[in-house]
Amino acid sequence: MPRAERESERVGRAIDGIAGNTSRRGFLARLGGAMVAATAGGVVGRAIEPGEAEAYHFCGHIYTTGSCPHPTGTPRIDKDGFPLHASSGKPVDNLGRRVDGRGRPVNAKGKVLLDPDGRPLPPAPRTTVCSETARKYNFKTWVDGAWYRCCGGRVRKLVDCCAYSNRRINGDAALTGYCYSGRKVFCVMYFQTKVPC
Amino acid sequence: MGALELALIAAALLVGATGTWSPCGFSMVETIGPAGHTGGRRVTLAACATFLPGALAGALVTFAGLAALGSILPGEGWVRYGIAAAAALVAAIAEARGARLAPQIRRQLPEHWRRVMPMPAAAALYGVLLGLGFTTFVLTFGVWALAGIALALGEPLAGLAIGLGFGVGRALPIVALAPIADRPAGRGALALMAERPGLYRGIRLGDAAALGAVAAALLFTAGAEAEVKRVKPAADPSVHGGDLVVQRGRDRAGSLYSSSGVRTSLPGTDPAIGGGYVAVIDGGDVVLIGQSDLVERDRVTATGADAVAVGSNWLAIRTRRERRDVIQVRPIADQGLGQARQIATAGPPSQLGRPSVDGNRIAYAAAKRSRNKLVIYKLKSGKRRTVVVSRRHALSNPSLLDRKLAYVRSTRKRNQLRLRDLRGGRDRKLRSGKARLWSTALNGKRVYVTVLEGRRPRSRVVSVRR
Repeated sequence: MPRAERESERVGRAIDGIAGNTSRRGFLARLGGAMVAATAGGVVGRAIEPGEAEAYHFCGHIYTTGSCPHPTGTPRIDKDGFPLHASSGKPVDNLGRRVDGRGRPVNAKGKVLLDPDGRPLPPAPRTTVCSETARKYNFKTWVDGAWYRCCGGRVRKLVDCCAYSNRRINGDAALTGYCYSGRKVFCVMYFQTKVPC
Repeated sequence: MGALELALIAAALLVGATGTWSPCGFSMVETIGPAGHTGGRRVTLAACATFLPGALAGALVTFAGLAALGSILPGEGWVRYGIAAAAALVAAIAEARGARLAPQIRRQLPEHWRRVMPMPAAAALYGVLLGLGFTTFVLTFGVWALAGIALALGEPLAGLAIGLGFGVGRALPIVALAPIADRPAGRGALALMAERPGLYRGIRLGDAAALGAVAAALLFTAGAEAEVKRVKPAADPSVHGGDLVVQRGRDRAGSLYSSSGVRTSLPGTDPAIGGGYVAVIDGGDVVLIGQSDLVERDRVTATGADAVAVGSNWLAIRTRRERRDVIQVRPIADQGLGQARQIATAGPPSQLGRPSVDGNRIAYAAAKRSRNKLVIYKLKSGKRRTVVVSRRHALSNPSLLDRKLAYVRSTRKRNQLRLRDLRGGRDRKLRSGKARLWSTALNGKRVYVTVLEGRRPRSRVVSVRR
């Protein structure tokens, strides 16, 4: 993630944090709430849910299921489910190294890393986070439904890695979450969009 | 439907579509899409079929509701249009600058609905919530602006136009993307939306342009639309262009309201306006006055006159003498009023209604015990045509303009203000209710009607858009 964007996200998060307390934004937030009440009435007001969910271990995730095994820890993925570095949004391989579009390990500036002979370092496998989970835990996994939430001023897609397993990655009972066909959530991931909210 | 309504629909369509970039918009595509449930594409199509009407219903509730609320708020003509234009302009500037949304509604659709009810039912309810507009994240200032415009204008038609555009705009991208959300094209489109901020920025610029066009349309039409829409207490309206005359008070004194809302007292009672003239009853005389300068042009004796109508070529007078109603007309020439000609008469208990003149035609109601009818009489040819007749309902107070005839139809329980297209087709009901409706007037944009309340009636004149 470019520095400016990162900064913007950080500032956005900070602003959201104080939104309810500062006078003008507090007023605007109350105005928004009043508009909900005015247009939707009590029934709808009760039905809709808070849109910005604070995390158990990452923003947007409102349940307690743990993150999927990810090379760098925080389970950020791209649109196809491959692992991304959480803060920079750059692709990483299964070893957690940043890689370029051809899978070659690169440094923080995007330069290809070289071996002592001056040749590019060999690429390591890069598999989708959910399929890597399946391999690691030795059962089949699926990515079923998803849901989007607002996180730190950006829309975030929350994705469940589902399995026919009553146990989740935490070791206790699994929840249904966004899974269907009898599958339950084994672990969770997210895809960060660039859409402001 | 005029240019303003079309501009509102276009802006609302874009503003609604911008909502697709919200967390709820993305969630809907994924949830309704084939990968969001076990039912496959068949259930997706069913869910799309229920989502669209749901969104439409929600949007109509919000924006038509705001318009209805606005209609009971005080404020007239250009003030309302000015406020609406200002709202559109401010939102357009904010959208063009890509300003951060505030106030933001940090609420979201209930995710669990998709698990606890069939997908088509859940989709319909999700559609309603998204259509309501203010129940979830707002992605453009246009939503606030459209709400302000609907409220400020207080025009049901404007509210419906905004609701229609917003509902369709909110639903259409989702309905288009959901069925292919599991295919490469659908996934690619979603990825583009999610990863290319330029697309979202682009649609916000589109919102800015559309809202700018709405502001321009509001300002452009403000002058034309700035006309008196209601007067209280008043009765028996007559309208020509934007100028309205009514009678007020127990002495039925005539008042002229110009399109800008300025009131001028007229030198007589029971006024009528049309064809560049104003006609009033002054004691036993009927006086013809120029509309622009209010200078008397001619005066005729008409004993028992209690209603007049005037057009560019004819003055019509209804008199009541010895319980007998008579309508007579006089041609208007440069040198003054011509000879009177009687065109209709009715003895008790039958009655003739207040006449309405348009060009070389006159419309009036004839009420007999056996039936009521509305008649158009061609003043040059002398041909008479009954355009509406009823043996069950009361028909009264016709107003004629070009090919349209406004009139009141009363049943035992309801009074309806109706507009008939004289070329054929069904009547449009413009207003219906228990309140007694009486005299009507018609111009190019609005239909005016007197509303009577109470036993010794208090009267007011209200109007609805044609």
